[in-house]
Amino acid sequence: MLNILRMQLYWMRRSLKTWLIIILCVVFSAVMTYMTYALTDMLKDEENRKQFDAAISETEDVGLSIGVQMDPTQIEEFNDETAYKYESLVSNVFNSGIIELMTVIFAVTVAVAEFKNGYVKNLVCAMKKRRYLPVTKAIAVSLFVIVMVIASALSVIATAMIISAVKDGGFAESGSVSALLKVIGMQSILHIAVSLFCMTVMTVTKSTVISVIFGVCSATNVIGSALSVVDSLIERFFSKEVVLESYIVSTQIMNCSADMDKDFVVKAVIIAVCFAAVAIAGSVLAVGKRDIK
Amino acid sequence: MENTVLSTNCLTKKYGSHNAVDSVTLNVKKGDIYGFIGKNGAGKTTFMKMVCGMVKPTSGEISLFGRTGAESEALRSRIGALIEAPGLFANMTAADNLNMKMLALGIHKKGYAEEILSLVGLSDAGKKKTADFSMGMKQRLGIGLALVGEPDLLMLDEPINGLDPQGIAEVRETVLTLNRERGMTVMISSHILEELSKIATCYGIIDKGRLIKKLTKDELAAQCKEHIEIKLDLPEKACAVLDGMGVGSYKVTDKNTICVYEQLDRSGEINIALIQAGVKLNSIFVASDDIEKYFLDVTGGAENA
Repeated sequence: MLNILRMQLYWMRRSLKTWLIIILCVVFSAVMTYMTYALTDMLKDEENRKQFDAAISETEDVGLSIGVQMDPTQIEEFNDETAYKYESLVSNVFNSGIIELMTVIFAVTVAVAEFKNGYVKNLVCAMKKRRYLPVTKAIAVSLFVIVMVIASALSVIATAMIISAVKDGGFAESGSVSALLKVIGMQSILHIAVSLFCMTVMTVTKSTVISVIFGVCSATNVIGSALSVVDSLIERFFSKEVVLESYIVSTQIMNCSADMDKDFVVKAVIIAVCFAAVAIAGSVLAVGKRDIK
Repeated sequence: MENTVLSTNCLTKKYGSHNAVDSVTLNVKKGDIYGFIGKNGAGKTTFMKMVCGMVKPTSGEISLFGRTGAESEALRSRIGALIEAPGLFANMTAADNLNMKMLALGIHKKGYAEEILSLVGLSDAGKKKTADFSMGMKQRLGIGLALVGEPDLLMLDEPINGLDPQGIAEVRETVLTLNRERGMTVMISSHILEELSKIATCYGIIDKGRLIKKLTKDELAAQCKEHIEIKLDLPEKACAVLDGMGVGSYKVTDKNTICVYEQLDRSGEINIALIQAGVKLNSIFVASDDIEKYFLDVTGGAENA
């Protein structure tokens, strides 16, 4: 299995799409950090803040969440003397769902690459067990998702440092290293889980379109909105109050803040592990049972 | 059993009610070059896929290197296969594609990829991406990938598809070299039967999923032997003349044709005797059946091909 894993890592390392998605993660993180700065600067004006509050409430009504995520109270507290902590900025970028979208696209494109081009026919005799393929693929995808999360976080910090230097300080400053590592670690786990899940959707459906739509719906919280409809139906017909949305990985990605508490960490890790386990089991079953065309 | 590299017993694959492979029982001995012949959709590829573990058999047994069941599955790494079109990563070079398979097999020998590329005539491929390869180059790389790990059994499904005459000759030479110098057993399917007949040591003919004929190279040569082919109008009268001349081995193949399989040097005498007997001859010549004609005869004629 180690040999197959080496092969997967070799391919992903050599693949242009891997590096393209990592570069996109870095660029989007930098752009979103700059947008946070621009928005913060703009909202120092009272009139602009009112318009912003109105726009935020409209977006929430639609249920879409991709873009710069800012807590209005955070803006209110913000003045010339205060500055963002790096971990808050990093957290904001991940909460936006843009990195989730990138990792999902990566997972979908690499999920069944060797099945689509037929390279698997060269490997099937070389593998003792066919299940090694999805398992090693999941490990390799996880490693590259960690690279993407770290690269995105570093991009946010670097951009914040540059903006602060150019604007003569005031925008961002270093906070708690442990809080920063906690955000990166937690987001890595959650992004791995959602990537593996989308990888399995791709493996099972063999449809790039369905998998990408699923990934986009997940990253833009459309799935969360759909689940809230289910919640209301359950409440109406069974008189039970449930919040299914809070049990999906994307919701955890959106809610994972720099000051997350222990309860959040435990719940998010359990949800991520469950999603990842179901995803790997699904992939193993699909690859193991199917004939190779 | 030690001498048998591949053996199948009533191997069957059903897709719904259709039998893609129907109770195929065959043996491939060590050192054989087994020519697997069949029309499109006859079941050749499905059979090879089952042996390689790509497709699960509906029933029947596969024995590899004398082992069956889970033991044989573990021995699949001793098979190198090129099934249908070669599976390649288009945005990678030939060497990268080979390196990936080497990694999968745990081969870390320096210069090994170059050695394989040289063996299949792709030494000059350089940094060219396989997306820019010609069909022939892709096919050669496919064979190269099958050779990684020096398998004991090489399964090649239509390996000369898309190759030019020079490429076909090179593949033929490569297969022969691997067979003679490295003792590699080869199972090869091809539509170009004349080409297959130049290298195969034994044959299996598959039609509609069933293995309808097994024969050695010598047996095939005997089937395709030279004969006098006579086109005439009265075969019954001609038979009497041939009997009178002491010609025993002949066959009336249709209402206007007789094939004589002995005394080929007496075609002139036969000609004169038939004319004297009042038989009108359209033509008389020495001919030989090619493997293609034999194949068409066995599988039900040219109208089905």
